[in-house]
Amino acid sequence: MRTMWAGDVVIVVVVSLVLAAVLNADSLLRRAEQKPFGDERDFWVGVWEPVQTVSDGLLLNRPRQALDEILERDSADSSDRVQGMVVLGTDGTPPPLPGASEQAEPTPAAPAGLRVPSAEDPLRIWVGGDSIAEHIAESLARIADDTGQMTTEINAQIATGLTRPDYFDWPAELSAVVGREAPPDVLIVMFGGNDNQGMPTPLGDVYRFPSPGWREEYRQRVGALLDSLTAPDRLVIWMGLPPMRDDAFSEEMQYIDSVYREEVQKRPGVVYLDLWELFGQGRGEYTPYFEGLSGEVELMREPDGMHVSREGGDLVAQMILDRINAELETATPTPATTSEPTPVG
Amino acid sequence: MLFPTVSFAIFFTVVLGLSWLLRPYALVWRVFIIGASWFFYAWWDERFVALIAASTIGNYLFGRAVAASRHRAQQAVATPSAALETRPLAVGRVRPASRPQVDWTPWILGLGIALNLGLLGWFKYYEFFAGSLDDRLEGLGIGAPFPLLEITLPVGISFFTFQAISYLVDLSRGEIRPMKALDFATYLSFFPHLVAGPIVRASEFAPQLEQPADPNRIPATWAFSLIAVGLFKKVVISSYLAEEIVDPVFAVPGDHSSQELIVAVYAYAVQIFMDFSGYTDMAIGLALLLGFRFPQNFNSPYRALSLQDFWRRWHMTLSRWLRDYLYIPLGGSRGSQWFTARNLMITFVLGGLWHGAAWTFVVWGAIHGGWLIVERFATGNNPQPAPGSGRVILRWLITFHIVCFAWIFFRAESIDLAFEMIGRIFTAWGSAPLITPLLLAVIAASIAAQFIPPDWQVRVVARLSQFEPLVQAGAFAVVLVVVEALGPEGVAPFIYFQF
Repeated sequence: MRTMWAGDVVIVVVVSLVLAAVLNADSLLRRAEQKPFGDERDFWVGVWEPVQTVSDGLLLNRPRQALDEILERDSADSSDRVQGMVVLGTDGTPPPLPGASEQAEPTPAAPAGLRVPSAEDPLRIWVGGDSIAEHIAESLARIADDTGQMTTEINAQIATGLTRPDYFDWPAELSAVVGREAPPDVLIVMFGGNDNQGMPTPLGDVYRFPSPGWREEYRQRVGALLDSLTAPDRLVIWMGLPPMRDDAFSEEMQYIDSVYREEVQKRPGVVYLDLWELFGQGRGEYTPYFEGLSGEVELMREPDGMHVSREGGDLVAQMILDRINAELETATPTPATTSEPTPVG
Repeated sequence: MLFPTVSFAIFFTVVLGLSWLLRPYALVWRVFIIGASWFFYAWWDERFVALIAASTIGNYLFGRAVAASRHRAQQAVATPSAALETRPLAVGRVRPASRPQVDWTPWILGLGIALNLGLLGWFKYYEFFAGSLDDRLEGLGIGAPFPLLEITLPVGISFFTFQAISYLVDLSRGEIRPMKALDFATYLSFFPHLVAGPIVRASEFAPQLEQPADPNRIPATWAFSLIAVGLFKKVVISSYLAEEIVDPVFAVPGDHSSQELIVAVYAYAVQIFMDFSGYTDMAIGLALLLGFRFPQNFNSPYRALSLQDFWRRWHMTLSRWLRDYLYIPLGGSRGSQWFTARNLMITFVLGGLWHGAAWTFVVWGAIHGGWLIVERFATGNNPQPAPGSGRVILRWLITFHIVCFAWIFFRAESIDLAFEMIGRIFTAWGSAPLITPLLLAVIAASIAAQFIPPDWQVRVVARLSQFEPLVQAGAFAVVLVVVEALGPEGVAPFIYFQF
């Protein structure tokens, strides 16, 4: 086997990485743009933008685009990139989104009227959101599906939220979920863990977190999403955020959580699950250990001080199941017909 | 800093260039590589640097003490008359000039090992024991004296602690000489093996420090191949299997049919191999580019025809560590079959517990220990069937399925869920939407690949090495792009980082 001189090794490493970067420039730039707005994002966008320009000019990004097409993956086409944003630290109110004025109004939704499930036609539960929702969703699936009267679908996407639809578009995803022929009877969502960042608007601005402009824009998004989810025969549960170990991060989460509380309060058909109370144990402070379902003191949070542990997930899942069961006690005895999604806007 | 990231690629490129530039200057190079390794470690958490620095200093000092004590004891043995020399007492009586030399080596070694295990135990097992003891004591009305501290396990602590213990034991056995301070710090913190092995021994590493690799003879093509294969295993195969079937099925086994559960078990067997051996391939390849050779850690483990054979092929550096520092000191197979059985079971249950304080790991270890005992009783010391024997396929099937069965406990979040999964494997036949032809093909191809003769890989790489360096650079770049295109958006941490 032929060997190499160390200098050649270094050259091979450098050349291969530079060449890979040029061939992959679209993807690298897209990932850089998806980072939270700030210095790090600016730095990496500044690094990859000229590389992408060269790659595009020399058509070196085409093989990767062709590969993405073959694999039926979203191509890193530059047309859907978030670019050229003006970051606003403004206190001004953002211009309303198309149709947002109607969406922001409280929806006069009636309290949920769940149908009576059966083994043949179980209650369809959909639970999802960011990664904090994952353990809760799995725990819920374990206990709910064991009843034989419910079936749970999970969709937890890491590093997602409502601020960056350019990374993952939750409103579109949820619109498809409620638009199904057999939509969920119970819809449980959790967001916010990744939303403490600048937020691009469709009009090309970026609201800096946590400016009043950001809050108003976020409020509109939460309100619009809630309105799109609610339906007379559907129980919608919005899980609030728990306190976090890091004080500054915890404050940010509390700020975001206050938006959820306000928006849910305007919609009587939506249930707000107060995880700040639960995981703060009434003191509003990060409390990693407290009594779980087993009756013993257990670690309720993951080692990162952010996510919910399996035991914590079990506890929340039980609360959700109790709530669903409470709703079912007053459920109409005849199964509801397939509901139409509430129109947006 | 995970290997398959842009940050690491930049870090490694800088370190690689500077490392070869500084290699002729022994002191500067050592300081540089220690600094780079600590920077790599601090990327996770700055506090980890204090931990590895403390472990380095402590173990270095213990190493010196062990070596000095052993030296004194050997001198005493070499000149036994010295112990019997007498000299007159001032009052006219006679007494021995010195008391018979006491060999403190085992005591110093024992203390050093205890401190290492104490550090590991603190991070790994404190919470488990504190919680259990508090529950018991509260039941007795004594209260809960052990505070629960939400301790974060530093990545890699198991691996560098095992290396440190092997260093101390090898010194006490006289198998190695004590290392210089900077050499020892380099050995313990060298970033390619720092967070998930392979567990390299001082006897393998120290000579490479003293006699640097020839910069004109770097087996670069071999290294690039290992890195490329490792990336593909981790980023493409492991991620795909985790996302498509392993994670959803093991999270909620009650929601899945028997077919999905069975395929998920096979998929996990492939996933954990791809994940861990992929990491090891990258670690070995990166070390090679820096001029260091690491021991092999995997050798097609799923082609094993017995569990004894499996453990000679799976996580080989941990297997030999457990053999040399636990199984043999316990007595190994130097006794009756029952004595050997006891030692096997202790070794594997402790090996299981090494992965974490959970009953699932204990059961995993006990299954391996138990089946190894069965093999011993059934076939003696040579459980390999004769080549060409018609029983070979049957032996392979049995071994592979014992390993897969044990993986259920290893992966399951609790014993209850493991048993639920096993129960449903036999009782929940139904639709299996998660099983796709591609999924089955990936699993089957991954297992079949274990049977490719190792020399084929060597021949292919030898052929590749004939190409000019720039052609190899182009090929490597294409591999990087393909891996990135086939992989998920983000790369999950390696499974073995948590151990």
